[in-house]
Amino acid sequence: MKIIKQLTTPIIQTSWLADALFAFIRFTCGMLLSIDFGASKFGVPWTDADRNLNLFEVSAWFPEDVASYGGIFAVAPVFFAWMGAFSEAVGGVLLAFGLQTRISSFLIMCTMLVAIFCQHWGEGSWQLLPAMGFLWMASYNLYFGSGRFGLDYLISPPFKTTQSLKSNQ
Amino acid sequence: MKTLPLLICIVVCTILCNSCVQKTHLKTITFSVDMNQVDAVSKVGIRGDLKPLSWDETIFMTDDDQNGIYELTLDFHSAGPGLEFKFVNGNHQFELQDKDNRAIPFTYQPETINYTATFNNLDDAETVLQRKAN
Repeated sequence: MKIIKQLTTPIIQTSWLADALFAFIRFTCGMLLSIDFGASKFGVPWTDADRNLNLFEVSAWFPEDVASYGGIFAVAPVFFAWMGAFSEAVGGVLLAFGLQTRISSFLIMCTMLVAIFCQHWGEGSWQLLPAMGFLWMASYNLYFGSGRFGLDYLISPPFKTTQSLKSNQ
Repeated sequence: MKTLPLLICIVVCTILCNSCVQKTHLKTITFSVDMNQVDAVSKVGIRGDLKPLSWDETIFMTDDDQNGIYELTLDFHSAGPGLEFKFVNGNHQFELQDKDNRAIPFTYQPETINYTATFNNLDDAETVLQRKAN
């Protein structure tokens, strides 16, 4: 459980304004990733009905796409496709609300690295830009965690300790 | 903590067993295109966005009864919302230049579709789409 606590506990900035700025970027990118990129290929409650996707089901075309990357992706395309789609659709929401921010950031970083180097490499800078943007955003969230404005902060030991100290006064 | 590796194993096995992949349905589509109003007819075919079609290579149609109507039947395995395509003459000359692609919307079930059209004409009166669920 110690490692879970370490992963959950965010690094707090000196100024709450910095935390608010990070949270705004995190929320915007997380929701965009989940609603636009993730829900188009993964079955979640906010997926359009005309996609015909059941809950936690990945689009039929995506494993075929992943298999075309070759190497280890051709060995287990369903696994990698499911993990990539899950990272975007569910990981995006977790990141937006700052719940298990570091775990979701890690999953998103892995997905974006694959998207950059296996899917869009050689298609020019504009095609790489969305994946690179999400990669940069996830990378500093992997280090900082949710900051003050996220669910991780509310469930992490420092916040609980502060609250119990206040209630004992 | 001991249950965590077990949980991860279960998730991985479930995913590897393909049960989390959307099911595709067989769409058997017969394309018919009337080329009687085209002057130089050769190598009539189709290009589109869904395998076995592609936008880079033509799949050729045939006119077995020599009536100027070229036909082709293809099987598609799809879970998607539809197919976009264009007919091609002379292997690489697309119809409907600077216009929208032809489109066949799919329903999420196996189906047999007959698509009848006139080359380079997207009018509703000239295009017939018949569908039957299998």
